[in-house]
Amino acid sequence: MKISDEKLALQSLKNEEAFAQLVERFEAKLLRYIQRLTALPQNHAEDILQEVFIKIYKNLNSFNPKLKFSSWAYRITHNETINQIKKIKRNTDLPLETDNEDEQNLLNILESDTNIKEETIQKETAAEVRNILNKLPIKYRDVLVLYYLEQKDYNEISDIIRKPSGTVATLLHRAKSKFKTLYNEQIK
Amino acid sequence: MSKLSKNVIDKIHEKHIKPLPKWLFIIGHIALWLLFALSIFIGAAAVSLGLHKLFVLNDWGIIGRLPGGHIGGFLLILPYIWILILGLMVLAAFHLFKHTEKGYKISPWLVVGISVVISFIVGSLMFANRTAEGMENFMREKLPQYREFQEFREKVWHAPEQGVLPGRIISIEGKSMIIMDDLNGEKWEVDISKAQVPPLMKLKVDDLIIAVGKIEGKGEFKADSIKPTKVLKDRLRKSFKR
Repeated sequence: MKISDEKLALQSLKNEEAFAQLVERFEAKLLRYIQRLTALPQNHAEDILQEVFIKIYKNLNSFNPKLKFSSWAYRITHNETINQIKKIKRNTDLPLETDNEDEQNLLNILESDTNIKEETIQKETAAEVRNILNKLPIKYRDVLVLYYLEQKDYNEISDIIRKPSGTVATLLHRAKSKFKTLYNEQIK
Repeated sequence: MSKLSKNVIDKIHEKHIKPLPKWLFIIGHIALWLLFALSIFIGAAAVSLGLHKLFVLNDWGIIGRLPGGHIGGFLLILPYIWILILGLMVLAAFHLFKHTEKGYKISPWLVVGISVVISFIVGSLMFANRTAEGMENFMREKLPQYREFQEFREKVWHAPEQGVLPGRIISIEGKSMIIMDDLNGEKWEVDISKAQVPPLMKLKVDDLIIAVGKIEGKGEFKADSIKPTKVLKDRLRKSFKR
């Protein structure tokens, strides 16, 4: 039976092998999250991720096992990534590189939430979608990525970005609205 | 083991990184809550001192005589320093609470609202049981800058043109005249022949009083009433208890 992330985190305090397993479980997810948020080149994103795991290891004793380890790991990743973005001052003009799955997910947002005709959407290229996301402030890009691409619910996003669930809902609503506005401007 | 996990484990070994001890986080949490409680307490103290300033050190019966009438007078006597400190403490409490383990789950407005309400409840209790008065006296005694600032602020009551003349009795000339120094050190002959004086109050040299009436001429004032200042009220209250 697969041991839970939370138990593995507790075991990591005494056993580095357990921590290595934890790294393996989360490295792909967290790397993708960093890239979705920053669009930094792979090697740079990996540097951030390595720093994230070191922070996770250092702070293992502050992890509350009543919470999801996943949310806690995402929170540390979120904070570290935001700090890196601030450091390199690229928070507004980062070229966001999304993969095919991302593009489909984001196109679905447009379909379901903005009442834009499917045929129109199909004409849009992935580059345009990237361009729209690229124009969004990081706080909106973050909630869109977490909700639609990382498939996190409101409570998890609240735990990750440390904001009340109501604020998460508001941010998400505004993010979609801004996404829609930018999209409409772009197709004109 | 993946390349990244190997790198991470290698770095942990290379730099001898260890998880930070649990007690460090516990102390951090306790310190956060203590600072939060302290900010609420200071906020409450600010409320109590503000109430003391408003309702004990001021005389609402003559506020309308201050420059600007009732509204202007009210704005003049507001305890801005304590309002500012309360605001800063509420802000501090809000930021500290946000960093507690689950503080982020509660709406910022609710945290601010609760901090203000607690500060007012505790502050009102401190005002009611006269803790504020003790604090005020203590600060005036130990902090000369605070005393000077408060004395400067109290000069708003020096408004002879509006009929308010606070000062110290330097001599009593029979039943109808007193000589007093005002807050600027100027001498006034005050006609008290038709002035109303509170029943328990017997005027004596060195008493701090407020004469309410109008200017009759240069250095001359005709009082309609004589009011005790806070200092005098205290003395009267103590003698009444005996």
